Amino acid sequence: MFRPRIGLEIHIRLLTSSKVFCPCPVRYGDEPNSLVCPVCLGYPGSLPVLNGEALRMACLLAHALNCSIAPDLRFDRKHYFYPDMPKNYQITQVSAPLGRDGSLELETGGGKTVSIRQLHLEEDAGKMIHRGNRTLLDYNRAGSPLVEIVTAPELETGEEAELLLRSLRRIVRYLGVCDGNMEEGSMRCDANVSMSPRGVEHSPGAEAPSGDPPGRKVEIKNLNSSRFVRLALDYETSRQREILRRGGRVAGETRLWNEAAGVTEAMRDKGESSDYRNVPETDLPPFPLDPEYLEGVKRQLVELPSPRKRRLVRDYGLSGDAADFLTEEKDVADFFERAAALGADPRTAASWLRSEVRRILNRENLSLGESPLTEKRLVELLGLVREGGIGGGIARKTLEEVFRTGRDPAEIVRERGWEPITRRDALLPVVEKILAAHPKAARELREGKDRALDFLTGMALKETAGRADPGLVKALISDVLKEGRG
Amino acid sequence: MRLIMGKPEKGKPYHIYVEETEKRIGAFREFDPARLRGESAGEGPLSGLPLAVQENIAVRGFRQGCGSRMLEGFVSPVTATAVRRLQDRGAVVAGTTKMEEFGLLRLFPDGVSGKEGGPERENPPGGACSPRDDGHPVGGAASAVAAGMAAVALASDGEGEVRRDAAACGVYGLRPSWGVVSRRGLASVSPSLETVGVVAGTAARVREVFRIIRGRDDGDPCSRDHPADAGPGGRRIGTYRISIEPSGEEAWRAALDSLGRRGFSVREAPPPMMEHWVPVYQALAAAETASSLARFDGVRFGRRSGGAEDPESLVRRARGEGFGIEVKLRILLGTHILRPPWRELFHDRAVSQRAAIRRAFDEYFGEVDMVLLPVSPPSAPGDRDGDDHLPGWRNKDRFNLAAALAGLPALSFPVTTGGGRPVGLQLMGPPFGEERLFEAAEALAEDFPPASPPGLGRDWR
Repeated sequence: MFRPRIGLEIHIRLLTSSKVFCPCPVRYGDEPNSLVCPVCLGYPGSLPVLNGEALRMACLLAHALNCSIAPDLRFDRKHYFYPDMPKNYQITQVSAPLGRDGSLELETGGGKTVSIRQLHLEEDAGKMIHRGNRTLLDYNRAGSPLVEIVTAPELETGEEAELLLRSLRRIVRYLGVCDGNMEEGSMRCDANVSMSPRGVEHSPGAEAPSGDPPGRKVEIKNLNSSRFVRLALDYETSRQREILRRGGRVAGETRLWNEAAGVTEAMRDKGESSDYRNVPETDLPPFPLDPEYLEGVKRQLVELPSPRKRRLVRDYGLSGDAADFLTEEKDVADFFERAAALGADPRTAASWLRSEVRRILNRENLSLGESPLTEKRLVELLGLVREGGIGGGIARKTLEEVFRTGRDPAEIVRERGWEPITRRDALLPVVEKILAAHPKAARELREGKDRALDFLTGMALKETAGRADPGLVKALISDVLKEGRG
Repeated sequence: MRLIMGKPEKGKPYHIYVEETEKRIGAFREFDPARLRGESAGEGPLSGLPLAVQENIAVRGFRQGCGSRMLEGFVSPVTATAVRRLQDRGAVVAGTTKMEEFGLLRLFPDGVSGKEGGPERENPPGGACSPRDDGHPVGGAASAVAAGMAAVALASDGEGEVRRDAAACGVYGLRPSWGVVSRRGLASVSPSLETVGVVAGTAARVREVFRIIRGRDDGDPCSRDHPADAGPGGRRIGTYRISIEPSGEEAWRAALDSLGRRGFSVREAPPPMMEHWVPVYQALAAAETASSLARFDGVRFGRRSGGAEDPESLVRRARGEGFGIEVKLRILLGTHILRPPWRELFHDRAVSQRAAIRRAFDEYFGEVDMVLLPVSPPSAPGDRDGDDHLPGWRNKDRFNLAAALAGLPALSFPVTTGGGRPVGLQLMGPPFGEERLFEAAEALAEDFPPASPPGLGRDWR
């Protein structure tokens, strides 16, 4: 009967080296209040000066999300008194956001596309820390650049919201504008949830009709992982559905996700008005975003995860899952494509990256870019398997050695004496030894049980530490048995 | 470098002269030229020139008190760009001067809170000093210049402070075009209306200092270079027939005669939309003031109130005790008109009216090159004249507001007739029209030579 309408407000912390309106560095974990200056502390007479890098990143993200971009950049002051906000107003964009009317494709949501209502640039606040009966303030974060993205309420489930965040995370990481880490607050998400009766549809991106009873929209905060977003929204939609099913009304309020209890709870109402008394920020003149500048930024766009995934499936014959894995991180997809260009079989390369390479990277807590495995080394390793006849076990051991020593696979194989044994005269004694040691299996094979052949081959590989050429071993076993020597 | 400047009064050392004069006048908040001599370049066109800086403009190592209890003890860590540029040409900061709290002229009588007691009780300690024998309170910057304690002063002009005070003291005061002088270091209360202005004893000195401080500053994104072609030019002056106080009538006529004799054509041409100046200014200034003063909360700097139980009460106390009555009233007004339903009615209308005023002035300055107006009365209502109700008084004050609304340059100058007290008039021009204002003021100075402060050597002028 009721269809949830979920919208997200997502804050993206930009990876600039300095703050958005002053030259203080953006860093986390420093001594409290060591990365501050008169501007980010709001001293009298200090003036904001826009960081061009923050603007570039915000424009890049607006392009990536298909937003139409404002003709000039305008800022407003949004007022509320809170000690972590140095000027007691936030410099943000209310009247004319940088980007409007964009869209974001959910990567595995059946092709669903969600409208982006607006995208704007603003400054972060500091941090208030409560210690016993004392309140401490750290302004290192104050003035860090944020991009806020507001989606239309077009999501219907917690899963879709999680997917949206995951898709957005990939995009910001591809663009290099944010590390996308929700746990550390680099991406922060608030959600609003309301229910509309089925059959009453709203055009995407449109404002809720004014006939909607006010206060039905519930805002949910404290969602600091994409999993919590899913859990909290699933909880909240079923809570609201249940209230409506019983004929009740959903109160418009702000609720907090209680991670421990797995529920949303009404936040204590501070009775504060949400009237921010916005005024234009006249300390910053409107900054014209001329088309030439925006074109220059647009040229910095990279192929985004969704289209790239489709291309990998199409051009390399990969499975959707494999392409999904490869496009999760841009440097992995880049690595894969460079390896393919160097002649690696795409499917084999994808499979190695997804299994063995990933396993070692996870264990060593490395990214592909930091690891000694270059695309050239992977191609060389796959070549040794395909053409040089080395077995899977040796190949895996060689990969480990590449990581350990940073040397080329062929060199490792040669030095360790791991080349395959392909000479009959070298393998014959091994085969004879195995047959002698396993008379029961030899008898079963003579009786036509083919499974015994695999067993005996395996034993011969083990005997040679994986170096024996399995095909040759099988041929030798048959020959020896035929000759009646086994 | 010479220890500052000139030869005041029969060879008396400068600081002795100032110390003696200060006993009468009390223009300085802090006076200590020795402190910052090292920050002056020493050499340059202004070598050794004593500079007074109003206490809402940052001078590193001096208190930036803004005439407010809120900023008691706050020492600025930076120096304003305009001050810095003068130091780089050899000027020496002599000290900082007193001002009304945040430059906001008290529009309300001191008794407005219903309590007994004058400025000391309800208004901040800064306030005005009184160089005039008629008791008109005047800001310290103009007082210091008029008394020969500084050769030049920098002060802020939002609603006419520089011009009003300069006129009251018989010196010259310039409010530059908005954006031409960097505001970095100025504790603005209404950023879109306020500028750093210049007070000096002659138009030539004002011009010299203006040419040094103007121009693009990377620390103020609103600052811009003065266009190269904005030289003097234009001798068409518009006026508006207004009734001013009788003592001013004679000066007004004398100035018109003088301009006519010196090749300026003067004609009646009322500036546009005068009836809107006061309400539009009042609304915009209040809104910006409420916003800009939000940062003063006693948390990071300035006055810290004791005994607060939590952050909220800390802020309440700091603002309750720190701000004077005028500031509180303007914050209330500004906060109020930024909220529905008043927002649309007052603030948003004021924004569009302001745009209309700007457009109208563009047109107006196609017909005349500058406009001659009185400088509005120096004192608050209820002090001396009969208009002790606010609207009546503010209406007299309106000639100071147009420049703020339209970002125009305005230069006030003294006109003395028949040995009486100087009367202040102002010339206002289109944006970047400063040079033509200087030219006209210099022509007038031929007929009305500026008075020299007692005891001042000529090289100060």
